[in-house]
Amino acid sequence: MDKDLQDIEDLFYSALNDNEENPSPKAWGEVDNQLDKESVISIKKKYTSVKRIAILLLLLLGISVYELNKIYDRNNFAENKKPDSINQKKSTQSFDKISKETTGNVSGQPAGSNSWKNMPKGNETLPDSLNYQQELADEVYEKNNEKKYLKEKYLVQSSPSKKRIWKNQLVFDSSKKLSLTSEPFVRSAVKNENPADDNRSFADYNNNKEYQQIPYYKSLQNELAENMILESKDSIDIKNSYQLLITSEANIFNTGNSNVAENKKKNTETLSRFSITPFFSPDIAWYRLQDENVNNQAANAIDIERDEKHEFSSTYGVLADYRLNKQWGLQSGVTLSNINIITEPEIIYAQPDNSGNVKYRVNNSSGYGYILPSFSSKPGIGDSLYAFTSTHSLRYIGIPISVTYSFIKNKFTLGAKMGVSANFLTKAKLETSVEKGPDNSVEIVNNIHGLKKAYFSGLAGISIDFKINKRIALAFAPSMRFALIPINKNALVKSYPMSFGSSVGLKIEL
Amino acid sequence: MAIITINRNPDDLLEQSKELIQACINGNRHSQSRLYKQFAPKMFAVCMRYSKNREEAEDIMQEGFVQVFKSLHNFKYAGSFEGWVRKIMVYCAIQHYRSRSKMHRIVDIETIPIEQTCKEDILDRLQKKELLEMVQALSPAYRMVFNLYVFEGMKHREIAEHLGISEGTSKSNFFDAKVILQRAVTNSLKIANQNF
Repeated sequence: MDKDLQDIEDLFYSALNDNEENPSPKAWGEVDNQLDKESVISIKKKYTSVKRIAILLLLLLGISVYELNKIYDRNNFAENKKPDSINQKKSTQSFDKISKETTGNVSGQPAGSNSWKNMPKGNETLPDSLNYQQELADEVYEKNNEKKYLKEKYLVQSSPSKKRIWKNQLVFDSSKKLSLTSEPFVRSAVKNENPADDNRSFADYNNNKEYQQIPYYKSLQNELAENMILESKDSIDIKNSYQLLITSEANIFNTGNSNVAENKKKNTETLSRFSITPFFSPDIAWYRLQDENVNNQAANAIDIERDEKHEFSSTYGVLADYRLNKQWGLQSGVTLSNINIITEPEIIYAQPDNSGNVKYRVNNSSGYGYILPSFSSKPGIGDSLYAFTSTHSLRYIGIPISVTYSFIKNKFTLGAKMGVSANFLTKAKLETSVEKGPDNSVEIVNNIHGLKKAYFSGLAGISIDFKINKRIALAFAPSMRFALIPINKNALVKSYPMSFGSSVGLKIEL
Repeated sequence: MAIITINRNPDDLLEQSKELIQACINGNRHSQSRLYKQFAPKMFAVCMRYSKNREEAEDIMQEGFVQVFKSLHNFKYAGSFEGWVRKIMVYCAIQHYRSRSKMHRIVDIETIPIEQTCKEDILDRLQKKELLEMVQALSPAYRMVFNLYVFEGMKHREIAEHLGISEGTSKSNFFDAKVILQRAVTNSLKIANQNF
């Protein structure tokens, strides 16, 4: 045999390597059209991340606006309702003055008692602080929004701490406040030399119509009568003043704070630190496909995207919520998600698998699998089969961790959440229907090559809870899940699962 | 009379084409059209070797040029631009083969005897077109291995990786392809001799 024919590759190389051929004129038109499509896809992909950022920013902006609005309303309300600051200051100063004087009195300095001797009874002639207290008490009693006012007032006064009061925690210790206020008066346990005077003084107050109308006055009277021990040298007026001061102050705090406590109790009854939510979420799922290598795998993503269709996918599981404070919380749990993808009919070819056995390789967006039908148990490399359909299913166990923000609106609790999830592959199944004469043969393998054992995904969503009773709420939470890393490697394409689901569940507070 | 010298050196062409490439990156369709016209004939010839007919070659070339324009921003001006474009075309051909082509043998290699002759003589008597048709007539598996080995200078290990086959299979396919081509050339020469 001639050497030139033995080295025929040289012959072909020299003849064809620098060859040139003109393509048909329409070829550029096709390229032009493709470029138009690609530019549209590229814009879509380009703005995907921008869209995500925009959604997150909108969520944060919404939360911020809501919070600011709430603070503004609260301040505005308090400004409108409370007495002017000067009057308030004056009242406080007067009250402080009274306290100082009475303290001095109790500690054995009689000079202080003189200022109280001539203090007349009745609202008009009371010191500023007492006027203010009584006005406040009357207002509380007369107006229907007394609870709100005092709640707001209390919240403003207690700012900036504004600590959330949790279940089983005493909301407000009125007796402590009372005891602090009245401490100077009861500190000295000297028995009154003339009990009749005391009785008279209380009787006078019992007959005072204005104070009869103050809520809780009666009950407080009893408590005060038990706690208040006056010194023998104290005059009836001073005793009356003490009584009036304590009563009015106690009423304000007790009325206000009992209302606040009542309101808060209502809220705290509905809120506890822990809650669990079993849920089910039908998902709209899809893959974001990226070429493994732009040079040699570019067509894969486009082809696979065209040939594959996501079937019904779902996520279910249990989520546990832990509240950090009134609005913020953490959420975690266990989820089980299913992904089902069907591939359009295609021709599959026999190739050596990883162990060298020649089998038919079925490619898909998640990875690839090898099948060996019984009727074609020894295929040669390059042999082909017609696969009518190929379905692959993936199942992942996910452990999400999210930061949640929520606020209560009547029976509804509205919220938003954002977090990440670690997803662990538990099942990968490939089901291929191949041509077998006039019939089909279904080949099932439970191994898809190229899939990673785990991947991380991000999640963001909103939640709407409707309270059914004290402990149970109907939870509805549309959310978006997006893979942060591909679920596969060394496959035809990099696949990033995405899904949008609206979960429905029952939120049970523990 | 003015003499116009056209410098066909790829590197010089690259220098001349830098602005053109940048315009293509910016999405200027007119520039893309110019770039296409500049490289289409050579790239189409490459694609023809990897295809069984013109239509298939055009498909590969179209995919290739789309990838070229999409990936232009990745070109670092570190080597020959023509070589870079050609590489993309070859990868597109590989991809095309892996996803679509149906491998089957079209020639029984035992039936045609090999004629003894020399290369120059063969090239004189056979046109490039005929040789190209011989390559195109190979089965896709043989054609791919033959092209990658002969024209792209790949090793069998690399070919095996690209095509998803074993190195032994690559060698075997190459050997078979050579035998088929030898017999095809011999057959063509016989016909040519008969015509003379």
